[in-house]
Parts: sequence; C-alpha cells; structure tokens
Amino acid sequence: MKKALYAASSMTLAAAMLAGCGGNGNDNASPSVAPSGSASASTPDTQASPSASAQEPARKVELKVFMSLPRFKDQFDKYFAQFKAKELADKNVDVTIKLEMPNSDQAGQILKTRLSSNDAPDLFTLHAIADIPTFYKAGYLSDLSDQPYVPKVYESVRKTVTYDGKVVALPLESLSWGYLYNKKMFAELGIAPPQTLDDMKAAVEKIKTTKAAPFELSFQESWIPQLMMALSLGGVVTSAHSDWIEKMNKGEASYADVQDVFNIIDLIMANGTAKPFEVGSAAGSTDFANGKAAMWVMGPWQAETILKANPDMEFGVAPLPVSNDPAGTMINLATSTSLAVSPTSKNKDVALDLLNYMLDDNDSSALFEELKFNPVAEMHKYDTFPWITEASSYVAQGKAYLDLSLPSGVTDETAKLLQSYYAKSVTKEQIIKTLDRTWANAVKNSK
Amino acid sequence: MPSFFTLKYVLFMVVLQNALAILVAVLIESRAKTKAFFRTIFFMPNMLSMIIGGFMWMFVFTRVLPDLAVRTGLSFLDRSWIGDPSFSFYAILIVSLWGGVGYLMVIYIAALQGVPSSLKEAAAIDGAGVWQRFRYITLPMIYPALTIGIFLTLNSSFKVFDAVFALTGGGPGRETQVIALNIFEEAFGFSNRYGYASAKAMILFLIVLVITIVQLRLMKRREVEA
Repeated sequence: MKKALYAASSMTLAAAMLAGCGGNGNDNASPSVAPSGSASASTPDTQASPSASAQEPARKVELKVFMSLPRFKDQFDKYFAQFKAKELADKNVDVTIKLEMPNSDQAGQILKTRLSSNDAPDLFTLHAIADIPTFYKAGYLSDLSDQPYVPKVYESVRKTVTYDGKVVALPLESLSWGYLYNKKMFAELGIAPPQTLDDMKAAVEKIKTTKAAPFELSFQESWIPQLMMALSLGGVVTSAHSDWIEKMNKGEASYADVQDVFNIIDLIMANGTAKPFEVGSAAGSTDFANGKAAMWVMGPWQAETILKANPDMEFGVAPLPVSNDPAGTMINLATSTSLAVSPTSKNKDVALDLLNYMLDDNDSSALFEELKFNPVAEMHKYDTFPWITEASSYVAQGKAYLDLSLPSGVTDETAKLLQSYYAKSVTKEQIIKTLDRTWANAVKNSK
Repeated sequence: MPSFFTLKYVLFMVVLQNALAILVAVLIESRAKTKAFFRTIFFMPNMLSMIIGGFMWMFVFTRVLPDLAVRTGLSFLDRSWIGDPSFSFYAILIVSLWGGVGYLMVIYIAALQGVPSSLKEAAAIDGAGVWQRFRYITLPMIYPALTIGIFLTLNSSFKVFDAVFALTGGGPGRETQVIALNIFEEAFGFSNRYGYASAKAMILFLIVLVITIVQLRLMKRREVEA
C-alpha cells in the first residue's frame, strides 16, 4: 500500500517537472516563430529580390542594457521598441532588450559588481566625469572613436567623453546646472539671481519675510547635499585655486585651502526647510514645485518631476555665489550620464547599432526632447526649455566651469559628511581632515 | 561609531524585547476567550518583511505623528524622528520591537502553558500574591525559554540590518549605522573593499559567538526543573 503511494506521488512529481520544462520550451518557441514570420517582409542582404530570402529566419540576439535612469523607463522602453523594429527591418536581427534600471543610489554599486564579476551588461550608463578614468583603466570600455555618431556630437560635449585620446562613451545627459529658483517668487520680491555672497544673504532675508523658506533641503538621499559642495568647490577652485586638484593629487594641498566653500553651505543649511532628512528628491520636487521654498540646490535633471507636481511651475537655473567675487559664481558644465559598450559583449555589432541609434538622425531628436535633455549633437533640433536657455546664457558669458574630476570615493564621502554636518555631529575641521585623508587614500589606491 | 551604536541597540533590544514579550505573553495567557485573536495580532508584524514594515513606519514617523501633533497639541510627537540621530535611535528601536516581540511572545506562551497550575495553586494557598507567584513560580519555570529568548535577541540584534536600512539607511551621515550596515557599505559602497568587509563580518561573527556562548553557559547553570 505504502509503496504504491510512493510510486504514485513520485510519478506525479516527475510529471509536474516535465510539464514545467515543457511550459518553458513553449514560451521560448512561440516568439521565435512570430518574428521570423514578420521578418519576411524585408530582409537586408537580399533587398533586390526580397521574396527569395523571405524564409530566412531572423538572427536572435539578446542585449542587456543597464541604465541608471529609472525615471525615464517609459521613454527608453518606447525608444528601444523602435530600435527593435528598425533592426529587424534593416538587418533581420531580432533583438530582445533586457533593460535594467536600478535606483541611481545603487546603480553604481550594482554595475561595478557586475563588471568586476565578468557579468558585464552589453551597454551600460556611467558618469562621464567620475567613472570614465577608472573604468577605462580597468578595461571596461570599448574604443568608439570610429563610430558614425562621433562626428555628429558637439565638440564641447565630445571632450567630456574623450579619454586618453579616444571617445569611449556616448553622451546622453549633458548638463549645465546651478541651483533652481522659483521665478515667480523672485519676481514678486523683486530680486534677481544673486551674483555675490552678500547679495545672496540679502535675498535670503527678503525671502524670509514671506511664508516660504529660502532653500529647499532634501537631505534624505546623500547625493543631494553633496551638490552644494560640487557647485561651491567648482566655483572656488576654478576662480581662485586653479591648480588645487593637481596639488591635491600630489598631496600638497588641503580642503583647508578652499574652506570658503563652507560660507555658502552654512548659509543654505541655516536657511532651509525643516526636517531635511525626511525629504528625498521626489518629495523635494513636490515641495519646491508648490512654493515651499524659493531655491533648491538641484540640477535641471529634476525638471520633469517638478513639472509633474506642478505643471505651472516656472523655475530658472542660476549659478551659486561662493564669495563676494562674482567671478566665482559659475554654472557647472558636465556630461553626467553617458552610454558605453562593454568590450566583452557577445553581440557587439548589435550593441553598437543600438548605441548609434541613440543619436539617430531621424529619431534621436524626439527622444532627447522628451527626456528634457540638453542637445548634445547636431541632429537635436528642438526648442530647449527656458531654464536650459538660461543656463546656456551663463555658459556663453564664460561663467561656467568644467566639472571637477575628483578621485573616486571622495564624492561619496563628502555626501555622508555633509549629512552629518547638518546633524551637527561633525565639525568643519573634521570634514576637512576626513576629506584630505580620503583623497590621499584614493590617490594611493589608484597607483 | 557603528560598534558603539550597535552595542547600545543590543542592550536596549535584549532587555526590552524579552520584557515586552513576557508581558504580552502573560497578558494573553490571562485572557479567557480572545487568546487566539491577540496572539495573531501580536505575531502578525513578524510575518511581514521588515523592509516593508520599515517603510510603513517611515510614513508613521514622517507624516502621521507630525499631523497628530498638530491635531492633538501633543507637541512632543512632532520631532525629526528619522533625521535627528538621538530620536532616530528610538524610532529604530520601536520598529524593531514591533517586528520582534511577536516571535518571542510565541516562545514564552508555550513556556507559560508548560507551568503546572498545581504549583501556582499551592503558592496561592500559601498566601502568595500575583507578583510573588510570577516572580517565584512562573519565572523560574520559564527560565529555559528565557535562555532561548535572550540567545535569539542577542543574536539577531547584533546582526540587525533591515530595520535600520529601511528607516534611516544609517543616516544622517553615519550616525545610525550599525555593524551590518557598515559591512554592507564597505563591500558594496564606494570603496568596494570586499576583503575588509568579509574580515569585519568574521569579526562580528566571532563577537556574537563568544557572547552567546558565555550567555548560554551562565543561564543554563541557573535553570531549574519542577
């Protein structure tokens, strides 16, 4: 009796397993049938006599794409679908794109883990300034200099993705950013974006007479307080200590030399919204859009989220004053997110096709417009947004600096330290000491 | 810094989690009819992922409590529960207790049911009050359960990760960073130092091992049988 029961149950189990395998098999099989059918419409190598090769099945390729832009998932999904159709029509390649979009907080960690464990995605986004040098040295980037998209990219932008004389990435987000300000509020109070620290203090006092706070503080995500340091350090270093980075790398300088950066940071922290550690970038956008604060140290990359919260919001981009010398009040000019191709990609030809399609002559303009990115190449012919025009006007006046290249780890350490600085658990002196040490360690480790 | 914070957390957790669990267990055992109902209610948080629980509490701390403070005038509720390190410690504690008490409660309920009622009745006849009966009869009888309870809390609170991660992420800065989070940051943070991280993890393991062995030895010696 018992034996029979065992036999029956093991049979059932085996059958279930078989059924499971069968199910998978079917799943795989069905899509492969469909595309080869639709592919018969036009096959590339036999365009003269399309009917002859109508039976040739499409080559199946799976591309893994890793992007740290989760807020644009819909747009990229759509664009990749267009690419799929185009690739199938032009080259008879049936591309499946596995798009991975982790939160930008963790994307860097995940990507680094994947790259170092030889599990590189075919295409991945990286930060042009922060990541290219280390990634290039580690051999994670392909040389893309001879790709068709390269000559189309604007020269000033191309420089930001060129390393060691080679173009190694495709710029997606090129940025000119400072802080955001509420145009309506500024107009009502009769203030123009301040160009010196004293002007800024006066503006802050004026804003304080209203219900709104001068600055939106959203420190829950540590990269946001870090933006203050990025801007003020850029201004101070570029205007007054142009050889500071070089000296830091040699171990001859210290953050104490540029401690003017804290003037504006202190001012912002003292005049911000309450409970900043409970506000992240999303909640911050809503607060800012609804007029809870007049200024926000945040880049225009947040534009879409802000406009979603309040479509009537009018905001501008202005450079952050760092001292009473207006020369230090500068816009940050950088390429942040760029797309690279892994040299270990198994389907590099298709990966490169997709890369070039990002700057396709016909389709790219619409994508970049929809993403509210700045134009990076000549086919981008759309009206830019007022805030982008405003930032570009500062760049045209020469009031801009190229994003500083800090050693890896320094930016993240700065981020944590500024959070602690607001919570008053570290002092200015401790920040200077810790950052000096982090920088020295990073230089030592990269040798 | 992370180790000091973790020690403080362990101390509070071991005491409070066991005390509360025993209290809840005794109260539930004293109910005549609604035992199952309350047992379920108190155990439920344990069935929820602490990450989700953490986010729920995040909402309570950042939205509900300040709102409550405005409506009721209880201004002490309106704090930066997540942002201020001295309050976020209690926020973390509350969430951890909420999630952890139910599990221990089940252990203590089982132990309480094993206490022979004849002993309690005999003590009552001898004139022992409620507290005396609990202190001199019930508590010694559930001592083996206490050993397990303290062992489990020591173990889990040294390794706490999810509650802190979901609530504060170790922030602001590194004010509420526990050891496990520090290891996580070392391995997957900006420096990617897997070697250091695994060394730290081993050290944490050894610390937990030694402390729990000592705890088990000491407490086993004091256990009694009916």
